[in-house]
Amino acid sequence: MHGRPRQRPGQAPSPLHHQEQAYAVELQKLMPQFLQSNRTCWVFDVGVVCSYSAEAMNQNARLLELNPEFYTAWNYRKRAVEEILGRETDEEARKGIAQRELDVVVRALRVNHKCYGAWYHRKWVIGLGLSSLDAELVLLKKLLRLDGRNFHGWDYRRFIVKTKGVPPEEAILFTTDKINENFSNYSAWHNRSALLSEISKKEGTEINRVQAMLEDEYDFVKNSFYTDPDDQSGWFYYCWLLEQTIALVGTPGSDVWLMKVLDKEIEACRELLELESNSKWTKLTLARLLLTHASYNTSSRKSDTDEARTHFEELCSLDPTHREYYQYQLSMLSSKELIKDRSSLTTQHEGSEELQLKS
Amino acid sequence: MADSEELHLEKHVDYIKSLDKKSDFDAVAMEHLRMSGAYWGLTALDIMGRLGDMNVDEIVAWILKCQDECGGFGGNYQHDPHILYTLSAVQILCLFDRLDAVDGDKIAAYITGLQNEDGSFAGDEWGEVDTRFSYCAICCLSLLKRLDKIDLEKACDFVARCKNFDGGFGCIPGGESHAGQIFCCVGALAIGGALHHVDKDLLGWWLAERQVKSGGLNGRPEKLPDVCYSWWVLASLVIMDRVHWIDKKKLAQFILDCQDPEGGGISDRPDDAVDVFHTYFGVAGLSLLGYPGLKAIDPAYALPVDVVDRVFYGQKKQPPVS
Ligand SMILES: [Zn+2]
Repeated sequence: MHGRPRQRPGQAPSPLHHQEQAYAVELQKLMPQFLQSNRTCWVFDVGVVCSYSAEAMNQNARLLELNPEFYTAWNYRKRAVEEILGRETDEEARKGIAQRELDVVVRALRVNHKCYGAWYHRKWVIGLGLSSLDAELVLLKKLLRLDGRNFHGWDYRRFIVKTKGVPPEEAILFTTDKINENFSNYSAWHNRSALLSEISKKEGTEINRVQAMLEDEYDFVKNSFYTDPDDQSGWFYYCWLLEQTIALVGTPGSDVWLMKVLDKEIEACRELLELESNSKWTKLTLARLLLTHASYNTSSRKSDTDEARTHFEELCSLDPTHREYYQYQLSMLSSKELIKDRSSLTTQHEGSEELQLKS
Repeated sequence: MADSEELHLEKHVDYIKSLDKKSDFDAVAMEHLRMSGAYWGLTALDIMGRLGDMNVDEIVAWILKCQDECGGFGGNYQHDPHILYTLSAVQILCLFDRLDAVDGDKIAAYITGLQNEDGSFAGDEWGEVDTRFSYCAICCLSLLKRLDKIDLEKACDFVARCKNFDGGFGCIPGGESHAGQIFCCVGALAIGGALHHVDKDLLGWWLAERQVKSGGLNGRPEKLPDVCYSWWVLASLVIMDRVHWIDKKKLAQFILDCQDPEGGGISDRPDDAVDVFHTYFGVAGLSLLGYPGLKAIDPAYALPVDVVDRVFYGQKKQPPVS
């Protein structure tokens, strides 16, 4: 369904086509046989024990190799495993039964590594507690090397990490490795954000430690901007870091710290813009930094806001596809200014009253 | 691509109608999800104003054959019941105004039985949890007017727990944001009356950034554009009232460029092989973009607006046109 070239009329079919036709014939033979036996098993489920013969299991495995999305066949395997494990007491034999299932899943994933049913079957088998979790991590390392963005693989890795009880401080190291391999790995940045939240929300984590972590993250993510400032992955993460930074406002010592961070980051974005004057993401981020700066530092409010406005205006022509979004930011800016103007008028007014009273 | 600038409606209608007779690998490999295939094809036909060409009684009889004793529907006759196909079955029955053919309480009982303590939903008796199933449950029960049968607040809270650093949503808490998943979560929250969980400005921006230079939309950062995201991204943006943040004209052009002008149907990207899934999402996307000659589609229920109105406001069946 995805990424297959269109067959033009009169064009010779690809060699792949013949192979697929053979598979289609095989599937059409195996599927009705399977569905028939599946139904009989199910009906007798209550009273009669189904045999789940080796032959039936092999035929089922072949079906899943031909079409890993055939969910009813995965269900059949789960019923079979429950039944077989129910009467097997030897621990080694039980482990072997689980291993056979993991092997069937690997063969299915080779055909389609985005198959929900295959991934869930693996999770379900691991849940039986008969398999090595470390072996799963080794397998995942290979898989995520082949496709670092496979979200099924990442989900499954999080499941293994949780089952194994790996602390977030250790789990985060894997994301560092993946990002160092390829900074454009959004899946890794995503996972990193979740782990970092977990660490900073841990009981007893000191504010100083959270601040230091955030500063390290700013430096880490900025590396990627120098390689390719057009890659979205790191910028979304950066945007989230800024949010986390602002969230600390109000905690002891954070206000001074915030201004220090903002000054440093504004400076860094300006430097980047000197190298890449048309970098959309740098401009957008700089505008956001400036607006944050403006809302915490009254003395530079006007110049910050004016500069941010210039960046948004330039973004409208630099990235016309998203012009409406930048226009929205500009309109927010003017409505905010209106409110600010009004409040400054009132303060002036109150101030003058105060003066009058004093005099 | 001068010949791709308009919608080849008749070709697409013929393509969808021809699908049932095919027996190539794609057709055989899709047998397990024939219920969803039928929903995609029939909804696309309805949007194009051609649902009347279909044999309603035959289709309804087949749907009923796919229902299991437990109340859930399988992807095809003799296939195991699953919440995905239960929603598709109910959606098709809505298209034909034939909800009277099924026992709504029985279907509702099946879905209710799949809700977990934490508010999430399993896809079937085997316990896989995914926010896609939360959407299926909430959408399906709403169409059956039986939303009161589940703990809706808990259901919405679980979806909210799947929110990420970018404002998007994943399959389970901690899962990466993905446009398809975002549609399910935003759709579920919209129907469940809990859109306050959505950070519209942050997520709207992230979704708008799915549009790439060609005008097409991708599902995650740094991925290729694909017609199916025209639906998932677009429907979410419409629900969140942020659809103007993308270039609609360019997106419509991208979808039209993915048509097969000879054989009919729409593919994921220009010059790829067409399928019913992308044909539906392409046509539905064009409908959301207000393309002339297409019926309006509801972004949350993924059914034509007149069908949703009929379900909720109980308009009388139209007399058959002779
Ligand atoms: Zn697609």
